[in-house]
Amino acid sequence: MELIEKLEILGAAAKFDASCSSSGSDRRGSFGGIGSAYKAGICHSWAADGRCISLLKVLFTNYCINDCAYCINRRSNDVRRAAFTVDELVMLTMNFYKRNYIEGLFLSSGIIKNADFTMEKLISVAKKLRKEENFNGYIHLKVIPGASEILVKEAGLYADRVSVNIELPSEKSLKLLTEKSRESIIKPMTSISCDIIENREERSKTKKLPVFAPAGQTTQLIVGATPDNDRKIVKLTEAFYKKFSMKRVYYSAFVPVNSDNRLPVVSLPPLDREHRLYQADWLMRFYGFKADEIVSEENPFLSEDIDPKAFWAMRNMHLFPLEINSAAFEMILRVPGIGRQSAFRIVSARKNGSLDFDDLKRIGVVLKRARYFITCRGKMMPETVVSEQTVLEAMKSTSTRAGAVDHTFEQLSLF
Amino acid sequence: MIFLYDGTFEGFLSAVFDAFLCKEKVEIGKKCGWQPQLFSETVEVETVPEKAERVADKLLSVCGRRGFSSIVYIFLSEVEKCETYDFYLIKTLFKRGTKAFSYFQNEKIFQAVNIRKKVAREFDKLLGLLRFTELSSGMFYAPFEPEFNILPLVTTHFYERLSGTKWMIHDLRRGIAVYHAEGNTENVEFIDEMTSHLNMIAVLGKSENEEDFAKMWKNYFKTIAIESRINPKLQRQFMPQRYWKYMTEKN
Ligand code: SF4
Repeated sequence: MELIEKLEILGAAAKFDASCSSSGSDRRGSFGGIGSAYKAGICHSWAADGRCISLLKVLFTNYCINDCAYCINRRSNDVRRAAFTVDELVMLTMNFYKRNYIEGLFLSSGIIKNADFTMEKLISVAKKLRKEENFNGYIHLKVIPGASEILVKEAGLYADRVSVNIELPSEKSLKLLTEKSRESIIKPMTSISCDIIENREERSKTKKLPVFAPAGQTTQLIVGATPDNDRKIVKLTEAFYKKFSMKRVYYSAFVPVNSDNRLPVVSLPPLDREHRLYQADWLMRFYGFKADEIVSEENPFLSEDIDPKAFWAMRNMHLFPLEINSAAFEMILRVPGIGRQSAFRIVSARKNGSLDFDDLKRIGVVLKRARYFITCRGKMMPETVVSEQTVLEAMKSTSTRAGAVDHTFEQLSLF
Repeated sequence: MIFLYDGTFEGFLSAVFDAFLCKEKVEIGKKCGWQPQLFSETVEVETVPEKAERVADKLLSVCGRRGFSSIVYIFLSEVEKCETYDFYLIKTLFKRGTKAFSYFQNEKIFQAVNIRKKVAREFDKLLGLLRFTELSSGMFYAPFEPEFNILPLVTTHFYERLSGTKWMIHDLRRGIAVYHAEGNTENVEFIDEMTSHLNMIAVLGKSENEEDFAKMWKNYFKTIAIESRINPKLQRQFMPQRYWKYMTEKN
């Protein structure tokens, strides 16, 4: 089979994995070598679906011994199959990288023979890139559920980031739709997070030790393939950040590729729901929100019409309006229409003198939303009428995914 | 008072030095192409390395390397009046310290910071969107036409990233280029104006394997999009059409 055909099959087979970013690593280029993993993560292109392409994301092979219900590569599917050789993949990565098509390699795989055998293949690609080709670009390796601890350790030595997909929000769903056990997923996650911490401690003593997965670990789960509610997902996400010092949790809207009576019948992937979950995730990571503030037990689903930040604000009107010239940073962050960058700008601009609504506009505050929650020098913006009706209207009209006017979440569209 | 300098960064800093104590409203502009105005007085600034260095040192001590790079970004924007805005930003920095970067209440500072943001945005975008083509000589060549003069900025990035390769980045809009080999970068001297705007791919030809890799990349780019999520508007929003001209996958 020609290489171009393999690339087509194994690229298409990997495209449903959401986690493509290459952020958070700072691998300096070594002289005469090639590459440097840039700390902010660079998008090299945007596909026709608007998703950022940063890494060459492929499967090593799409042959698989498993038969997970939602997966296009499951063994019972009749699809074209292919497998790279280690050399082919190394050569492709190097040549794409030199042309600045990509930031590095994101390698995952279907399971051939068993977890360890597959994991070893992935590791040898990374090893060859680093050791023989002197490659300093970004490498993200997927950990195959069930791979032994020692291999997970080795993967972390060559890769900037390692990840294990949690796949589904609950053990029950996992059992119903896959042949993976929760344990085979959680175990490597735990050991990665221990290795990262251990390595950090040891490196503080001797700098000579190699860094273990400098960009940390991430995970991904599928949204909408099972009845699990948003609260479950948001709580799970929170636990991942707290307990596994996870760098990111990615959500991917369920795209039906198989017909299977264990799966729900949907015509379109639940993109709006995925979008809201990313917003919720953002609120926990950068805005100081707790999972319980975002989705309650009584209302376990995120609102469709209103983004979670506005939703929270509307239920807590007694905390507003805030005086922009004196309010605490943490509270300014919680105002709908004020993103992180604007909040930072507000508190530093205040040191130069007090701010009025024109200044806020310049700073980038979306006044259409924020006006109901703030005052400047003790006054609300002229002609602002605060009632349940007006606020609801304003929040609704600016909350849609397509008309992303609110800069609060502009980064989210990366996915 | 209008201060006219020679167009170099050193010249600009010399102008900042000379204009610093001026009590009147200051404007700084390039000598060549300056339209004389009826009622304002102009002076021609002499480029003096010592003066430039003193301003640079002071800037570094006030706002560090990051702050200093903001001043450079604004200068490289080549936007109308950018030197004047940059001057007022420097003046305010000396007076208020790094707080000046968030003095949004002031029109000139706001303009300056805004320009910096635009340059930074293009710089970030092009780090990813720049495309290298292997020429028959074995050199990797990247033509582009940036809105702002960011060649010096991208050079630093690729110096580290592609340190083991021979490469050239060519700003076809401005007719300037940087060449790198074995750890050294130098500005390319073109024999004449016309050559400096010539796309070298057409002149020197591609390497033997080049088309194969380009084809594989294009094909990969197509397959990676999820059909049920196609959203060309979103794609254009992130990847402005003006950059497509030199992008392999868009041609
Ligand atoms: S193990 Fe992975 S590749 Fe194999 S069927 Fe399950 S999800 Fe698909």
